[in-house]
Formats: sequence, structure tokens, C-alpha cells
Amino acid sequence: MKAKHRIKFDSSQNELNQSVAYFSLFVLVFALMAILQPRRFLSGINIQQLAFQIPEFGIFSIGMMIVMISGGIDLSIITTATLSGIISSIVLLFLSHRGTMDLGALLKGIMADDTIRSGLHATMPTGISMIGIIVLTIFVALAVGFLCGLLNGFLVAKVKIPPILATLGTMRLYEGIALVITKGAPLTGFPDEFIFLGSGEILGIPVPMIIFILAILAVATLLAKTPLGRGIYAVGENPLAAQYSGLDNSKILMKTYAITGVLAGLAALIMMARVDSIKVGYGNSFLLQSVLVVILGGVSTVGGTGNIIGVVFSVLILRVISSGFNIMGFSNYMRNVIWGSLLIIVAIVISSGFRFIKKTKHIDEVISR
Amino acid sequence: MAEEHCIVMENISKSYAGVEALDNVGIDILKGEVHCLIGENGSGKSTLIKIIAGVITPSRGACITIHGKNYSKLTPVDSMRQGIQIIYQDLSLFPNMTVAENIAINQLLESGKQTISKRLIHEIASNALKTICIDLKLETLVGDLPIAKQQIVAISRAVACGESLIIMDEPTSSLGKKDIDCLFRIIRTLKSNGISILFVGHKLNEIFEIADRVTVLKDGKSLGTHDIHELTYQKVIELMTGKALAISNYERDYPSAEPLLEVRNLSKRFQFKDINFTLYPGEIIGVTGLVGSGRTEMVSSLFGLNPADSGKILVNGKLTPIRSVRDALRAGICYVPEDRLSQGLFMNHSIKNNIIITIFHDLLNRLGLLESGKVKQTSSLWVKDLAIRTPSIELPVKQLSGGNQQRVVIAKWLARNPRILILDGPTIGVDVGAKEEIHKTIRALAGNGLGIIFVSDEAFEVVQHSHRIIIMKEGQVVEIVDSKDVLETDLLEKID
Repeated sequence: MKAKHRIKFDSSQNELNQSVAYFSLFVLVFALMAILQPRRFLSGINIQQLAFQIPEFGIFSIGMMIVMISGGIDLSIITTATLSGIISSIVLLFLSHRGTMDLGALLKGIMADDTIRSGLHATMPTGISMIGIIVLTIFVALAVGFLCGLLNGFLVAKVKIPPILATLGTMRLYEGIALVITKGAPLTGFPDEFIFLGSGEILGIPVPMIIFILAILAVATLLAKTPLGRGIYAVGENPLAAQYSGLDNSKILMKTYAITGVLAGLAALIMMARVDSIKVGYGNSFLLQSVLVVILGGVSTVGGTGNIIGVVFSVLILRVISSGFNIMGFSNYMRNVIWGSLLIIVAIVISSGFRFIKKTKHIDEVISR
Repeated sequence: MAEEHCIVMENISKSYAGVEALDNVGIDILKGEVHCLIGENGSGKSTLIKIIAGVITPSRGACITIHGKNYSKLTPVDSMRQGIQIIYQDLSLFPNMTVAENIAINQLLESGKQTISKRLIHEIASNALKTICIDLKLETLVGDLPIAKQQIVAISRAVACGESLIIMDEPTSSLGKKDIDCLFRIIRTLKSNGISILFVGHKLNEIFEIADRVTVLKDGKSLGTHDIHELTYQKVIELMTGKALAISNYERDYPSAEPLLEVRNLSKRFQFKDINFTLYPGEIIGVTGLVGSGRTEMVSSLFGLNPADSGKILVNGKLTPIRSVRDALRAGICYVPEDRLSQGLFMNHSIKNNIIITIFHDLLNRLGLLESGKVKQTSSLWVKDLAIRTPSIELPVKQLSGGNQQRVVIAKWLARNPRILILDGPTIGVDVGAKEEIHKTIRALAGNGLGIIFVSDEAFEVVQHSHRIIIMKEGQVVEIVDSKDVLETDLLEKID
């Protein structure tokens, strides 16, 4: 506290302070839950459940964070995941011949011509190893995510539709395509080797957690250390100044949305592998929660500022609270009341925080002397 | 005493984080006078006017008397009720509302009416505009107006409220000469109606034209209030900067090398026509003209922001079509824009990140990642080179003063090692001392062989600091004159 007045001048110090604050809040929330329900909250099963639940939501959230830093939003993030999950599931089921649902019937819906279907079957390589199949599935999921993101980026950057509108449209579009393919039915019966991605463990650490940590490291590096990352911040903070600085705004935005799409594809893989099925509507509740978490994590609602540490801790905090509510046995209705109140409290904190920042602005007059 | 004073402030102190922004300052404003408040950046001018506005609370012991009523501190509502209106530099207008609505809004809100009639709005607005003898279309959206007109709307709004003290924070920084003359006419009209004006400014010729009395602030302390007749240019500059300032015309060795930039018959419909000039290495060309003379449009076309329809641009003797910012950067042309806040800076980002934005590719390591060592080193170097005053390169630029912010914009371009630097109004909103340093920087850059195009509406500084001057009017070049052969007053005539 003594050094407070110095810290205010320094943004890297500020970031450090902020991280400490988030960490403390996380510890506080965790401790609170542990004290209230020591036996059940701290039980191995619960902790493990947390470790399996956090990654999907976390990856959606960092995807959302990237577009929000660029000054946009991606409302299609969940349906992007759904679509990439469904297309990659088809590839996976097709190649591993293990679908519990009738693939022939499924495909009849899409391809009217029987000869095409049999042709497909005939040309299908038979000798692919399971590893190959899984690698291909992963590739397809990420590629579909990439393409969905690219379309978002194209609409935002080239057609210049406001992000909230563009992605509202593509949200329905991707969901629609997924529905046309599956008619709303779940795809299930994935091979065990694939399930490992969602429920396996390496050295006692859940595989999804490992994937999540790798994604955090990759995105953190992207944002802090690459020209693209700095460009995303710049475009979000002041697109005009970015243009005047010689940045290619539309290329940066296209890439931003594409990266978020890829992250959605990654989340889809974990989601598929964790519950051994994929279906339109999975993960829908993550959409607004991920926006909430990004704002909680300190990303400016108009873009340009924010960092991944805050967002990751917010994900953890939110999940811990959510799990605590579960254990304490709040009804779904009550939970909504609590979430709503929490959101308002956060909004109050954030806006009073802004007021605080405005006050410190005038320091420039002192400093410049 | 109280009879003739509009406001008297005594013992005003304010400190932030232990540093005194204002130290026991006093100011008194008479009824119907034009009082100028001047001082360098960081001298405490803004703090003082924010205290008058009630936005900032002064430290204990302050004594503020408005129309004979005592306050130890003001709230914004007190201040407004007492008829004090501030026109801030950013104007605080609503770009999505019409001229009429913007002018009438304060009065409507104050009246507490539940319904609003368009007729009333128009009446209030047209009366206000009539008082200041300006004609504006009432239904135009304010966001569509050029900045000079927006300022007029802001002034009209203050006038519409029927205020007794209007504070103008650097009102002329974005106005052309005609608009300034008009503003001064307005100010004189207001004055004759018994309204006091506190004019916060930095252009000395304007202060000498309009002020009755001048209060000079330096480092948070008042250097007293002087009658304008007691002062001279030299005296004011000495007071503000604390040092004697030698004003000398720019001595130059005529550049004899090959031309760096040749512009031939450059035209763009409705903007500028048949622009021809040549820029040599080490030369500073001033471009001046009124707002709307096409000067900004012309120079921004050289940077690819506003590509010309026809004409040729040659860089180093080679034909170089400039269709985009990238083309311009490739040709070594950089541009410091007119509006540094919205076009030049990322306000919430650090000085470091603002500077490196143009030179990512020079700072990458083998993995294609930014190398923090290089990033720090490069940005620190420029901070030192351009004498940007800051405790740290991590400081967000929004916390810097205007002059220092401008140097961050310049640093960002110099880091690219350009051959041609276009500066559009680089000293707008910058105080005398900081201005002098920017001028020095520009001269030093020219000395290093850069070709500089320097756009400014201050005839004084154009004459002082350039080799040749392009005078523009209605999108065309009126004349290119040698700055040695021209006096400031002549130039003003030619511009109009």
C-alpha cells in the first residue's frame, strides 16, 4: 500500500498488481467454498470434476477475449464449435466404423444420391491407423473452426458489418447447417482413443487441462509477443490510429476471428471427447458466460486493453463459485438470482473502477513538469 | 470590491500523489473582462479551471467568492447555477445530434420540461447563433461538421445558457484566421454585455489582441496578474518558460542535392487541384492556408490515406504511385496526423507500445516473436532522443502532456527512419515551451537530411521554421514563397 502512488504511473506494475488481485480473489473464493463445504467441495471427485469442466469453458473464454480485445465480439463462438464438432464427428465415426447411429441414414439426409454414398465408402481408405484417424479428426475440427472464424472476420473486416450483427447472423447460420446435417440428433460412440482427449489423464493431470494450459500459453505469446497480437490491441484501442500507423486493419481482424474460430474448434474436440457425444445446443450456456468472464477479467468493453491472466483467473473463480452452488444445493432458479446479483456487483465495481481511473488521469499535469 | 468581481479565488492549492499541482494560487476575474490564463503544459491551468468548474475539489483553506457568495469548495452544479460555463478543448458535443439540439440541450435540461418542441429548440439555437453572428444550418448533424464549426456550436451552447463567466480552454487551436476573427468578435460582443471570459490560451498574438488582463501560471504557482499593456511578447515568454527565448528565423544552407519528392499536377476532385512542388533533402516546406483550403487533404494524399485522382508523385526521381499507406511507407514517407488523439495515439497503451507499432519487423527474434530487450531498448532510445518527459516507458500515453504526446507520435515515425516526414499541425494544442522543443526537433531532423512538409495555420511559426512556404486556398496553390522574403503579416493577407 505504501508504494501505491508510484504504481499508478506504471502499466506493467499495474498488470502485475491486477494479477495479484485476481489470484487473491481466486484463493478467497476457493477458501470460502472449502470452509463452507469442506468435505464435499474438497473431495477428490469434485476437484477432479472441476479440472475436467474448466478447460472447455476456459478455451471459449480466451477465444472470446481475443475478439473482444480487437473491439468486437463473437456470438457465433458456440455454434462454430457445434458445427466443427459435428463435421469432425462424422469424419471420426465414418473412418472408425463405430457409429452407434446409422450413418447411412444420416447421410441420406444430406446426399440424395446412393451412388455417391457407396462411392464414398468405396474410396474410403481402410488402412488408416487410429492415430491417423484422430489426427485427421482434430485437423478437421480446427479447420472447420478456422473457416467459420474466417467468414466472421470477412463480414466484419471487409463487408464492415458491426461484429455483434455479423456474428449474430453466422451464429444462426452455423447452427442451421449443423441442424440440417444431424436433424438435431446427437452423434455418439467415439473410439476410446479419442475419448482420451476429454477424459484421460497424463501423470494425474487431466488431458483437457493440459490442452487448456497449452492454449493459454499459445494465446498469451500471441498477444504479447507477436506483431499480430500487438496489432489486435492496436486495432481494438484505436482503429484509425492503427490505420494511420500503416497496419492492415482488415487483415488483422480476419486473423483475429479465424484464431477465435480455431479455439472454438479446439473446445469442440474436448467437449466431444468428454461426454462422448456432440449435439446442437451443447455449450449454449457458455456463450454469455464467456462474455461475462472476459469483462470480469478486465478486458475493456470497447476493446484495446486487457490481458489473459485476468481472464483465466475469472474463469477459475466463476467455475469454483458455480461448483460451490451445486454442492450447496441451490435450485436452478436461485442460482439465476445469485448470478444476476453477482453480475451487477461486478458491473458496479468495474464502473467505479473507471471513475477511479478518471481521477488519476489528471496526474499527467503533475508528471509532465 | 464584490460588486465588480465576477469571481475571486484565493489560496487555491491542490496536490496529487504528494505533488503540488497548484500551490496557493489566486485569481480574480472582473465583470465583463477578458482574462487570459497562460502557462506551459503542467503549469496547472487545467487544474485551476476544473476547480472553477467544481469538477476537482481544492485542498483545505481555499476561498472562492462568486458574485459575493463564499464557497470553500464548489460542486459542478453550484458552478453551473452561478453561471459558469466551460468550453473544453474536446468540446463535449453530441455528434449524433443536430446543431440545434446541441446548442439547446443545456437550457432544456435546466428548464425541467417534460416535453420538447422542435420549434423551441430552433428558437434557442438560432438566437444563440444570432448573438455570435454566425450562420449554421440547424439541422446538420454535429458529427458531420468540420472541427472549426463544431467549436462554434460549443460556444453557441454556452451563449445559449446566458452565462456570466465563460471559460474557453484553448478555443482557437483548431480555427482558421477568419473563424478566429469571428470568435474574437463574439468575445467582444459578450464582453460588452457584461459577460466575463476566461481565455486559456497559448498563442501570444491572440492573447495580445483580445486580453484585458493576463494571469501567468508556472509550475503550479501564480506569477501574478498583469495588465496587458504592461506586457510584451518577450516578457510573457520569459515569464512562462523562466528563460529568455531567442526567436530567430531558420538559417539554412540551401539544399542542392537531387530532389527528394516531386509532386506534379496532383489533383483530387472537390479537394485539391494541380498541386506542383519539389522537396529537397534537408528542406522544410511549410504548407499553410485556412481550414478547408485543402492542405490536409493534399498532404494526406501523399501518405496514401486519401489517394489523388490524377497527377504524379516522384520519390528520389522515381515515379511512385501512392495508393495506400503501405505504398507511402515503402517510399519512406511518414505522416504525423493533425488530430493526434484520434489518429496518432493509442491512449491507453504504454509509450513503449505506441512507439514500436511501426517497426515490429525490426524487433523480432529468430522465432518471429517480439524481443522484449530490443523493444525496451528501442523505445527508451527514442524517449531519450526526443526528450519525452516520463518516469517510465510503461506509462500510458494518456497520462502525458500534449507536447510529450506529440513527441511520442513523432518518435513512432522516426523509428522507421523515414526520408520524408509530413507533420500536420504538429504544435496544435502545445504550449510555447514545448512548441519550441518540437520546432528544434523538426530543425534537427531537417539537418539530418530529412525532407519535411510542415502544415500549420500559424503564419508565425511557418515563417520562422521553414525554407519555403506553400500557400493554399480553395484547393489550389496560390503561391510558393521563400520564407526569407515574406513577413508574417504579408502571409496572413495572402492566406485570406
